[in-house]
Amino acid sequence: MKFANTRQAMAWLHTWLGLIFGFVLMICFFFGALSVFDREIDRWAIPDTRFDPQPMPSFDNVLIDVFNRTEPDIAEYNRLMPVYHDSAAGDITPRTELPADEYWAYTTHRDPVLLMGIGFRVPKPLNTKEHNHIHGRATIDPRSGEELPSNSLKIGSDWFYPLHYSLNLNWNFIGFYIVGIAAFFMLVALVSGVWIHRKIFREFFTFRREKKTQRATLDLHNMSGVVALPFHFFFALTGLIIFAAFYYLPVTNTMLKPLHDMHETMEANATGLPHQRLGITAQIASVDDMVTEAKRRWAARDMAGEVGFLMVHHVGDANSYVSIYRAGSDRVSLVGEGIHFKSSNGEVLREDPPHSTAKSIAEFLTGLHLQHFEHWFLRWLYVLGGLLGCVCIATGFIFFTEKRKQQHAKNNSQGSRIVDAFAITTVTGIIIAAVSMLVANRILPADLANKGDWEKWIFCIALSFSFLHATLRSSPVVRGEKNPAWREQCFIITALAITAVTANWLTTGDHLIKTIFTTPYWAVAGVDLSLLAVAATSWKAAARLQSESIEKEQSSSEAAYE
Amino acid sequence: MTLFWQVTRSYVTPVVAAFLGGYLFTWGLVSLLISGMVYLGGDFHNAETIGFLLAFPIFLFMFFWNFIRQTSWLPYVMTFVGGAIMTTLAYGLQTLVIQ
Repeated sequence: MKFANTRQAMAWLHTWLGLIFGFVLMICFFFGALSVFDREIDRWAIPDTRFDPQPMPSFDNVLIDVFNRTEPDIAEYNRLMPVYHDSAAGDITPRTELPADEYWAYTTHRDPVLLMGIGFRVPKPLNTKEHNHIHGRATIDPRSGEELPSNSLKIGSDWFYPLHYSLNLNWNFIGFYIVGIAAFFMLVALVSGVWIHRKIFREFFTFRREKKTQRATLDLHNMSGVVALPFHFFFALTGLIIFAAFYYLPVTNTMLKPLHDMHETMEANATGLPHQRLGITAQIASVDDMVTEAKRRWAARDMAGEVGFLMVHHVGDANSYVSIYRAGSDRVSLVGEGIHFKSSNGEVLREDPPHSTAKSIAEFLTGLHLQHFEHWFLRWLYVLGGLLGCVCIATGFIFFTEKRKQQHAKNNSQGSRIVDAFAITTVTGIIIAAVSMLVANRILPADLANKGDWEKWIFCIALSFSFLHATLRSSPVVRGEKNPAWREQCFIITALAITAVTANWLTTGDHLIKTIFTTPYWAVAGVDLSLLAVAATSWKAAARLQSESIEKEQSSSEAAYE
Repeated sequence: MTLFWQVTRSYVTPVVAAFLGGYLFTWGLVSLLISGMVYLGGDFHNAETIGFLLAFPIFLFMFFWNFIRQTSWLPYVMTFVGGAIMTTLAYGLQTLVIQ
């Protein structure tokens, strides 16, 4: 392919790669924006968890009992145990008899509930050098230690949040790779977009909404792209950096693994934190005393705080140690100031030293992406940035079809029609899918078996419905006209969003007057208010598209009459 | 030539070649940086972090260079051959360090 100049090559890259990967990036940006308030969406979806955020509860009185009764995940056991187990060494260990090797518990300043996990070891492993863990997880009410019902899905943190980095396609991590490639081409689209626009500063202030759809859409595309350019570039780049070691550039997990393993052993010797189990059974001392000591040491360093993450390594072994990390709600960088204790006697083995400059930069970038800090205004700016990304991509789709559909109509080409159907699915369709899931969450009985799976299915069915509807209603695009599915799906969003707010009121009694004024609970009120804002915006968009359509019909009937 | 092959040759191939070339170059550079820093006595995790921080801007630069100069052989030689040489060197350095 030959281009007349570099600018033309950049325009080609921007148009086509932006279009192809835009469909994936819409999902990343939209659900990434929702993930800023994933814990609040969880509260909305699981009414039993609508209470105030709690600190890490007592390990000795609460957590240890939960760890003792938590079992390995059945699906993971069935999938991985035959791979990890050495059948030549003897019979396979039954699932409920797997011994625990590590415990962890994690909370943030926005979590009323506590997430806990166990890594169970395989007693007769095929490959002794590998990690060989089968996992079990539990979410508890930290006030009582009671587990949440296993059929509840944390829609925010267990569905919307992973959607934005894995598309919830977990087969061979295919979703991670698709998102990674899309994120890289997002960077390409941003750089090429800046390259092709000579008057970038002027575009910052230009939006001529009274002009024709094609011109107004391009103005909005340029403006939203320029206004949030640093935000878009930063999030795509840091998303790639966060997963680089595992998926996108796994140099040290593949080719340089021997070097990595050698360093782990050296590090264990240097830090005094054992890398392996010793094989001698030992009891665990009071972890609550270790937590008290960790808090005392943080306070002495003028950074008093709560525990965010707690981990017990090599459970029940003489080499076992407890790592306690500070919750990072008062800073951007994702550092935990970890303090490590010998499990058997509570002796301090190590305090993590300040990190190197490179590590500090990486922690700052990661922290800025994952936003563990406590700053509500900044969190809303993140949502705004994410939604501006959606606006930029969506207007890119619309501009693409508006620019070409008349030409395609003359040539009887189906190109614009196909792009338009995909655009509708990834713009209005993902909103329909997300809100349908919330409606289903409130309408399905709380004790329905596998309720979370039903909600996931409804999300997928709603998204498929959106695509089918957009495709079936797309024939006007072939004539160079607008697809009525845009308007109709906007009406559907309005109806669904109002239904979700109403269903929340009827099934829980938490209406807006209660959650804002009488018994304020902003997590639920915020979700309800956001749903009403979505309803109002989509209603306005639908009404405008409707009036445009009526005007067009009137003018064409007048022309026919004349 | 069918339309499919025409589109593949004219449009898909240059993008895929620039992507793969850029990736191979980045892989080679990051692996050489990590093994080289460790060989010179640096900390492994520090080297790894520096490598990942630099990786994607470099990848982006190499992608654009390959794509824009697609009629020239130099970017392809630089990315594919250079990437392969750096990867081999990194592997060799790792062997030296482990011994």
